[in-house]
Amino acid sequence: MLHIFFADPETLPVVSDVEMAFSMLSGQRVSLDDKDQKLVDLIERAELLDDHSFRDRFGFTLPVSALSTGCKAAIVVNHMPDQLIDLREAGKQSRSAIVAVCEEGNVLMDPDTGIEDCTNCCGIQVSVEGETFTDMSDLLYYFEDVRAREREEYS
Amino acid sequence: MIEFGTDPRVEIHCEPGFYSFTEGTSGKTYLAKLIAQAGEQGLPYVTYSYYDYVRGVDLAAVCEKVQAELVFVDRYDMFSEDPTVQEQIQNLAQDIVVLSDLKSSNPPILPDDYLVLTRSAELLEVT
Repeated sequence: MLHIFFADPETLPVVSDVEMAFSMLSGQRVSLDDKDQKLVDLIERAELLDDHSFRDRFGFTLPVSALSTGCKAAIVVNHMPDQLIDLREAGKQSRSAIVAVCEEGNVLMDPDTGIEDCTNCCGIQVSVEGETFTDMSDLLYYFEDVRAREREEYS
Repeated sequence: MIEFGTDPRVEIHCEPGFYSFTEGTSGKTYLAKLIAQAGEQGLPYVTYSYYDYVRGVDLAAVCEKVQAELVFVDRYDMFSEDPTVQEQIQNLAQDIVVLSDLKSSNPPILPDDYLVLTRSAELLEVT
């Protein structure tokens, strides 16, 4: 299950610098898998060639260090399921891809920043504030409810 | 317009101010890298990242040193709460183009505008 937190529960170690965490994974020679491939495809429209390089949408072969910070955050979520990954540097595409692809892990995100459906009708395995979601559209409605609640609290 | 580079060529069409990019824009990291390369070649362009911030590098001093006309503040979400940097960005934005990759929905300082980055093999264009 991918657990989404809107505030730090203070029960898990937090990874706030995803660039550094990604460098550590690279340094540990972690093998990239099919989920990483899917994340890179959804976020970058690119193709992983091996653990060290990818082909970008223009056909250029680049080192994985040149992936966007959001894409690195997604790969970190996939490989560090026991830690809470702060997604403040991940844009909407990256957050959405994480929700669509990662079935395990813990992420911290601002509900205001939003997500979109890139599941292509596949199910999700997500828990937010104690509620479980297996359908992306239900999760999108829930995010909308959270935002509405916050607006009411501020008004 | 700010224009530099040949492979790819970079064109930035905006007046002095503080800018971020529209949601879903890709290529920001690449743009920051190209700006850094141009700066290394002696052009008055600066890239300032989270690691510069952590090392205590002063944004305003770096820009003043090269009489910067363009600065890309990379990974700004990591230090956007710092009031000193906020003030420096606001001051710089009065005279030069300050780009950032800000993603927060509720940033401490609001960008003047959100830019679009389009990219092909030959041209990277910011409008």
